[in-house]
Amino acid sequence: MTILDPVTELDNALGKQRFLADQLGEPPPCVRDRYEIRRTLGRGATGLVCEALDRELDRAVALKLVPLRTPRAARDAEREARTLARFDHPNIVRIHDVGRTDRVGSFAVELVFVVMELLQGTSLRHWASVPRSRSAVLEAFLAAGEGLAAAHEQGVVHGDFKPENVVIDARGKVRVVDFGLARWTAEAGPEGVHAPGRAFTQGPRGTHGYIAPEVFEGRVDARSDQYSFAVALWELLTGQLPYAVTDEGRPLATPPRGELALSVELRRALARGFAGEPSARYASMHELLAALRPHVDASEQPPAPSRRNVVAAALAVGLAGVGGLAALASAETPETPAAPRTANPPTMTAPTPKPTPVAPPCPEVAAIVGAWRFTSYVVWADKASLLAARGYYSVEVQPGQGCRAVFLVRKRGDSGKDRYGKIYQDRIVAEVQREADGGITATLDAWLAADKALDGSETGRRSGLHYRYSLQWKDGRLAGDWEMFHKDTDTPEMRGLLAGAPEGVEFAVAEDLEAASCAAQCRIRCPGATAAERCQARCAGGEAAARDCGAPDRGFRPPTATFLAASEPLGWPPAPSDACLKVADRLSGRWRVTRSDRAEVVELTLGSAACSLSGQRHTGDASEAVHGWVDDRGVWRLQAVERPEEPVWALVGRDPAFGVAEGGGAILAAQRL
Amino acid sequence: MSAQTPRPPAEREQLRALADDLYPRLLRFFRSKVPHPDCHDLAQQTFVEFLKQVQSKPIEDRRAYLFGIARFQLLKFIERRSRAGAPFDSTRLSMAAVGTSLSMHFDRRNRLMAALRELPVEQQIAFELRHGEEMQLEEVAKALDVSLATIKRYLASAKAALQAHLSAGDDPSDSIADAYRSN
Repeated sequence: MTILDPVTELDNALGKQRFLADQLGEPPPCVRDRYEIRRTLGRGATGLVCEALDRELDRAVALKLVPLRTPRAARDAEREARTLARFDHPNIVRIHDVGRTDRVGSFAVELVFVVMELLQGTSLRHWASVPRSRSAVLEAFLAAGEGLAAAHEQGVVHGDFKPENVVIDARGKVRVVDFGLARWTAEAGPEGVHAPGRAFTQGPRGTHGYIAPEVFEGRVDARSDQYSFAVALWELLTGQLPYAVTDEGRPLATPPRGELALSVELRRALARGFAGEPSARYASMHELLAALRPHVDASEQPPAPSRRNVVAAALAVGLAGVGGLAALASAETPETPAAPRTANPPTMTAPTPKPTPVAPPCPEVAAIVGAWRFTSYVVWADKASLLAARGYYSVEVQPGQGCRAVFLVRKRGDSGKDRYGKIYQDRIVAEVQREADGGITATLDAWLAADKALDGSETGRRSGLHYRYSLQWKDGRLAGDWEMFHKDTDTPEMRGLLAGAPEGVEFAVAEDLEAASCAAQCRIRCPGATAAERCQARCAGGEAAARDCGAPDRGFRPPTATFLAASEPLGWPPAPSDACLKVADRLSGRWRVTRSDRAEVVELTLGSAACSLSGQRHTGDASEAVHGWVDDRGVWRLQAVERPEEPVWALVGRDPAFGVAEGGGAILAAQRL
Repeated sequence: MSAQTPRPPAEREQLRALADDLYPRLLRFFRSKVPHPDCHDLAQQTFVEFLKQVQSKPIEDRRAYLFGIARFQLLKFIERRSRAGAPFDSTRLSMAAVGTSLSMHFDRRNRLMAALRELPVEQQIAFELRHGEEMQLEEVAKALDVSLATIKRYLASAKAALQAHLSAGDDPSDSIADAYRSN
């Protein structure tokens, strides 16, 4: 027999009672005969959040119900209530009542209930999911920061500050919510909130990405909230968290990401707020807020306000969290916090609002919305073992704002392992465009990570494997090319083609580079942005073949493996291996070689036998014999037969091949047909 | 929804008994696909519609009929929520694609439920009714208004997809059915 968890049982019981009340006029579910439950707004792992009517005061309230069978959560709920009861601050959610009961209506259950003000609004996370002016975001955070500062003055650290835990209501009022993880610092000692906080006994709690580094050492004080606050503001202003985090949530000590989007002064203020060492941060939230305030530009024109259905919004941001308590009816979210309202206030007794129709996406997006599958194929890789490997993907396209779409990319397996144990995935928002040939294109910078959440909370978190997909939809098919980069660099590790179709429709895997679009060929064959652009210009001019990229960009960094190989003496030919044969068998023929450091084109004629190579190298009128071999990593090296003391050329790949020449310049070799 | 005209005591008793039996089932059917508070609203709407039908005509297989209405309400809900305004192909698209996914925790039940939500909606419904509600194949076919062969195909595809998704060597049907019943 299935055993239900207490929250599910409670949810079922409340649903049924509500139904019988509506249908038969039976008494509605009620807590202590005072709080009449109207509807359940959200369910978390440990409790429910309901909208209720306080019969004594005849007002709508938010009611959090946490069954005692989850004792830790019940304790957190009571502690949150006690914490909040100390405050009467416009930027902190108000608490009205707390208690325990052994029944809700006719359902017997021991639980903690917390009665709070019912907020009509949405989380800052959702509010900021449509374009907002920088000043509007700053103002919202300044208001939330006042709430945090007030808590700090009372010796309370929030402990889990993030955009989800700030609610902005229909009038633009901002409230910090969810003090469920709040801690008392300094035991409210006279030295204030900066005295060392208590050590954790159960490991750090909070939300990955927002937890200050010292929290992992068991140290927490008001400056830990300052860190979370600065990180959250940075995220909403730049679109990404400043630091990547480890699996356990610890921030990596790297330069902050996305900083170019901000002015130097603002960047400096925030970077101080999220400095790794607490002593390097501002002495208090007030100081940080004072540093941020000058960046609010009253004259800044906000983008057009957007109308949103708040119930849908709350679902999207997840009241399902443990402590979510923002409760809502239908409301509009303001562009600017505290801006005057433009609509009549919604009433608490309004029927369940219907979703407001949202503007349809532009036709380019509408044409590609749906579920697709594609298979990638490795054309070039910096090691032979990866050549010709396949990757199996699904991608779901959902409409975004205007001509932007949301892409949920999932890599499910490859030719080495049909099905991964985990799914590598990312959620990318990208612009969709129509090309001259009628195709629809999008470029996705994806950071695939195992079982990464796709609910939007990870947006901006740049961990995992970095891929760039250039996708083109045409005639109901998906085609394109892709590139994967070495970790934390812009050096490509693999490049290749991809092909796909709507979910459930068969398609052929694209393996022939010649058959790919000219643009795709340029991206795969040409090393560096300039070379690729030159190539693209040739495509636009009607030249079908993209074989001639010209010279590689000066800044193009040849693959690391070729640097290493070029520094070694040629030595003796290696014993043939699968890897060397995989490459060597495809090298016979005529090649055109260009270099980043010299404006010369070298013609190369090669023949291969097992893993050994021999041929002629022509530069201008000069010609010389070369020989060399392919090693078991797939790197091929060439040297003039007559000058064995000279450094060798080292290249990796079949066609194209990239590498390094004597003197360290990058070289590109393309086979002539 | 407001209180209806008073019902005779026998009918009230019958309705209460029906609600005891069916309401939690309906709620879990919607909860596995749609977040709060909509799952409650859909359960209510379905039950009200079901009662109307039950009172107006004899219904042979009540359970299949109830879930038939539930499925219809779900598809209507998805159409309304579909921002593209494009028709929703429930044989192909999953709840995960609709973007109404619930917050995903990494505990076992939620992982199993997440796997269910990855299935095309019709397959998800077929799997839940067959294994979660333990309905006969014929009943499931009636609820989904498709042939027995189609139901068998849905179930086979669902099982294969769940197995692959969860990297499960053994048949994961029992554990997923259990997760569904406790969701």
